[in-house]
Amino acid sequence: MKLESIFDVDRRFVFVGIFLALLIPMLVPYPLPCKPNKDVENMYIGIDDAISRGKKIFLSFEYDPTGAAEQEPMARAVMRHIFSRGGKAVIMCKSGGQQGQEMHQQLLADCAQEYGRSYGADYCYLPYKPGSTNLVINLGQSLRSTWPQDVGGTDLADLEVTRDVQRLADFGYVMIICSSLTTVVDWLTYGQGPYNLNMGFGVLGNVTPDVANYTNSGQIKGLLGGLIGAAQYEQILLDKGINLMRRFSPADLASAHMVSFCSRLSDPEADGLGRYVWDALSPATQAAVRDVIKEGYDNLNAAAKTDIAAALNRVIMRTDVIPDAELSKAKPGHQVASLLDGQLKERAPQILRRLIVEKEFGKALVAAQSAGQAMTWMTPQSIAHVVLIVAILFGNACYLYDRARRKKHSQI
Amino acid sequence: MNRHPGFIAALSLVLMLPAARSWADPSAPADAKPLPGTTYDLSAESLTGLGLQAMDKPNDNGTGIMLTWPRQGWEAPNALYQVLMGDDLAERLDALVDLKVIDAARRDELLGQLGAGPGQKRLFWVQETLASERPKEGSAVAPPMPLRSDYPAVFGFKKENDGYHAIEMIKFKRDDLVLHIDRETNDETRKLVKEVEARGLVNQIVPLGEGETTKVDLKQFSDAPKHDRTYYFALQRVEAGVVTGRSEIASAVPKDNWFAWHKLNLLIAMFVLGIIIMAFAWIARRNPTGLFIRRIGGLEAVDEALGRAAEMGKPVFFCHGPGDLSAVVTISAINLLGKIAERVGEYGIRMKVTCLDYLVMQVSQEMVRDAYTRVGRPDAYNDDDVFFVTGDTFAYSAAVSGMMMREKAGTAFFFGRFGSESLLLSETGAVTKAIQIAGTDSFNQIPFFITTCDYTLIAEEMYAASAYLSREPRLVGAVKGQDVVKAIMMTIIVVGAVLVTFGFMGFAHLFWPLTN
Amino acid sequence: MRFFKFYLPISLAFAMAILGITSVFVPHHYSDNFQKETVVWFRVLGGVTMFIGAYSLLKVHFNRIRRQQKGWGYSALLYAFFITVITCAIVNYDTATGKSKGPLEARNMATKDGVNWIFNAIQRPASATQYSLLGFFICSAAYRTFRAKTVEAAVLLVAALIVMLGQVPLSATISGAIPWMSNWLLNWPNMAVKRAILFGICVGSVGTSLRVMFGIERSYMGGD
Repeated sequence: MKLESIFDVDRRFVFVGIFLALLIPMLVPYPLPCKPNKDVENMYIGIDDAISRGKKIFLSFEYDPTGAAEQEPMARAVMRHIFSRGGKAVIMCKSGGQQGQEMHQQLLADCAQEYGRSYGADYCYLPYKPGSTNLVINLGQSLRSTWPQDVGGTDLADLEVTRDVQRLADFGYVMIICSSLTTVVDWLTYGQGPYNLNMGFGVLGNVTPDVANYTNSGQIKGLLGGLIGAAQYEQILLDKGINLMRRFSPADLASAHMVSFCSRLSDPEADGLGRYVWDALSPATQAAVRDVIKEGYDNLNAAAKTDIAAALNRVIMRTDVIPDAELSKAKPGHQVASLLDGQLKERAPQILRRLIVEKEFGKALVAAQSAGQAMTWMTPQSIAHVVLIVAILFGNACYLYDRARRKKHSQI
Repeated sequence: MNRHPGFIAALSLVLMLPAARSWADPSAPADAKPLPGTTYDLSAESLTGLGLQAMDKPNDNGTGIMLTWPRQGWEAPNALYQVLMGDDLAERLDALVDLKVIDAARRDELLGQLGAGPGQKRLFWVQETLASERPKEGSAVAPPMPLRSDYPAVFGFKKENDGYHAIEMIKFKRDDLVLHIDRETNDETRKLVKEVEARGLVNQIVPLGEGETTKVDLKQFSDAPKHDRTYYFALQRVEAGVVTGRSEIASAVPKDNWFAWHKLNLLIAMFVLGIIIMAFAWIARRNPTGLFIRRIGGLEAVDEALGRAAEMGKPVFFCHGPGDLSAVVTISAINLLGKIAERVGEYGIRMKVTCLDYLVMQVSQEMVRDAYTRVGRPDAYNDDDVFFVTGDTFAYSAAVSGMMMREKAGTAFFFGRFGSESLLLSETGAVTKAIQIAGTDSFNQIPFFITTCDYTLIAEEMYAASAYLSREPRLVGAVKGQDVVKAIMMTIIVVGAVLVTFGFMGFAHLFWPLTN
Repeated sequence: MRFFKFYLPISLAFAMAILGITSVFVPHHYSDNFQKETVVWFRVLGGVTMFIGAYSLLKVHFNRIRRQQKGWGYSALLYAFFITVITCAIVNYDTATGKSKGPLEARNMATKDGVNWIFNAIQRPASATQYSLLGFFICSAAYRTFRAKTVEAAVLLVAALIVMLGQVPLSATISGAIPWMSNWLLNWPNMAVKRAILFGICVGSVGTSLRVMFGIERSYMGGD
């Protein structure tokens, strides 16, 4: 039998192999550190610089559930960065993102809650509008004639965040999260070129090499390419302690442990933090929490989750629940402790309170300093790549062995 | 290639033409009245004699003004420049008094709100606060004031540009007037509103609310400069929050331009390249013999692929990508479809054309119908075979993959612009063992097509396809012209790379936006 | 009829091309307005042809059902969904008021009406599934085709393996050289080739546009 026939194996076997290589490491999350590359660092610096100059950031979310696995972590990381620095952002949605509007708004609300920002003053969302090239051209000329109103129907002139911006050139940094090269080229041709914008992109992994064309030429200042780009940005947030500054948001409620979390909260015998959080919940949320125990996690709607997060935030924002004397209970790890001694010194009490709350509720709450979604997902991807490489090498070894054998036979 | 040096010399000569033009002289009226709302210290060193110039930004649609002045000896990271924009608001208020829209008391009241002294003609607002120099390390207290060399499209590549500051004013923040009036009340108000609008006296006119009378108010506006209106500018130096000097006032009028002179090189290049391509087409028409196009495997294989489908009695699939008619490659794909449909008609096989765009579907239907008619098989045409599937790419790939699997496609063509659906379609085709020929200019999809298809037309081969298949002399000639254009471009790139490497930038600058 | 079939379309194509090119070189606000206007026309045209597209789709599937061709069940399903979605959109149920708003009122993207449910529960997961299939297809295509048959193919294989490994953080833990090499391959040799192809595409586009503009390329109008 020829060994090289291994190449003609039914492709379904390849599919199963890759599926297992992805699935198994997903069950045991083990985030790997990701060293940020220059393009990712440039984006971080670009956004940071714009905010420090008091300029606003313009973002276009052009992703939907199809590409969300790669692009939602990008959006989340960038929004966390902006909000943590007190930056203000205008977010729009254009073709490619029309099916993702709800998730965009949820993500923005989550990030805003994490850093105590509010809609209208710190950010606003401009709903989906059809058109691509013409939309970019119009935005260059006038933001308000393109979008007279935001998603809630408020005039942009009446929103604090858009009051003094007229067009794209007024923003300090423009970041586009999109999935096709055509869109990137549109933005560069009709946005970056004419108005000399500081522009960065977050694109899907398979388009990254093509978009990289424009980073070398200097037209793009910052690029997040695929999941690894998002993971690298998350790494920066970890290193700079931006994650640590977070308060709680619905995204921090780990769904796998919500049933035990809810039963802990609604336990009439409970005291301490659990009792405090329970009392802070609205009656509707309390009812929803009770339902979770009976009927499962799906009963917890977005409003209830936001309410729970808000109740948890009351704990970390106030000094009467956990007095300063008890902050030593937090016992932060080495990296967190060094951040608290350094750049996060002013925020240390709030961060320590969060650590105490996290400890209290165990796995039900996502830790502030835990690795992001993209970093966690990079491990299965790494393993899948290695499996594929091994398979290709093995196939080639078989092929070369066959060829050597054939050569030997023909010589005889 | 003998004409080459001559061509470059001619190009350089023409490109130097705009150098003959000069800036419109910025007028700088000596209107140095105190500015409102600032702590102007009269004993401080004055910036008079700074040489501030305001000018209409050239080559634009009349919405940009450039300010420029020489760098000063006292500049330091913590010495800030403030750019002030002045308005004729006081003059406009006087005009409104003349028109009896408001009385003199209201004018003084409004001016008082802005902190303006009596009799003051112009009011100024701070637009930008910028550091005069960027500090070596860390974030600046304010962004640094740009230099002329940051705007090569306006000031060119002169070395001395580093010695001048420059800033483009494309947006103003200021208090402006809002007129509350019901314009349709009577002839008088109609006339009044018309007059106010024509003279641009107020920024906004709003209808009256319940129980209100005609009045003029102030409101914060953020505006772009309007063409043919005069704007006034001044600069002040701020140190530790205190204004320590102020410049003279400069003014400029933004003008609409009828030609973008900085794109002249582009226009010339376009004409030259266009003429070369068209000349080759013309020569080929006069002398059609001896035109050679190299063999393109993918196109040679079209007949073989169709023949195989005919032998096996299987249908042919022609898949358009998600590109619309504004993409040149879609036009090429449609041209190819016509040629392929002729052969399909001759062989008497069935071809399905799947479309993702309604307009593309319309044109494709016409194309296939005409092709069948040309080969004498109008009866073979069926509207149902050229159809719109869906506008969503993934739904499209699911639907077409399903059809290819069920109907066991014999041959599949993927021509046009493609995204990630390319691999979904062609991998499915590979499973049905169809002969697959793809052609696209989406270069990120080319590797996927190469791995899964039998033949792939890479980018420009696609554009040459209709010439290749029809052998029409003018088309072939135009393709030859394209090759010559490419040869010229390659020569320019090599020459440019060598010159730039040795520090001669002049040649490279010919291909940048031109300036005076 | 040669006028309508030939001269008129060619003249229109030529005139619009000249206007389009002119607007690039004329920055005047008249040219801005012209660009804005053409965009509106294009949208109107797109809106009208959408009906033609929907008609074509329904006709094709109607014939399939009528002739009971192979797989006609799918066509029936298409009709079922088409009618359901259209009905839901016409009813335009608003959960906030609990009333139907009718087809002429704008739909609310936030409410849990039928169209949104179909979007969220069917279309979203279906498109995500299609997209994620891509990962499996890439693996299967790579596995089948990466074979070191010649020296060139071997070079390609080695480069591919380096890039594949360089794209995941694991490579940095093995050696810092791998991501560096991967980036080098992507940024230099790969970029050079891509730019060369891009030049070809641009010249080809200009050539094709000129051929269409001057009526040399007429096959899009059904040939001569």
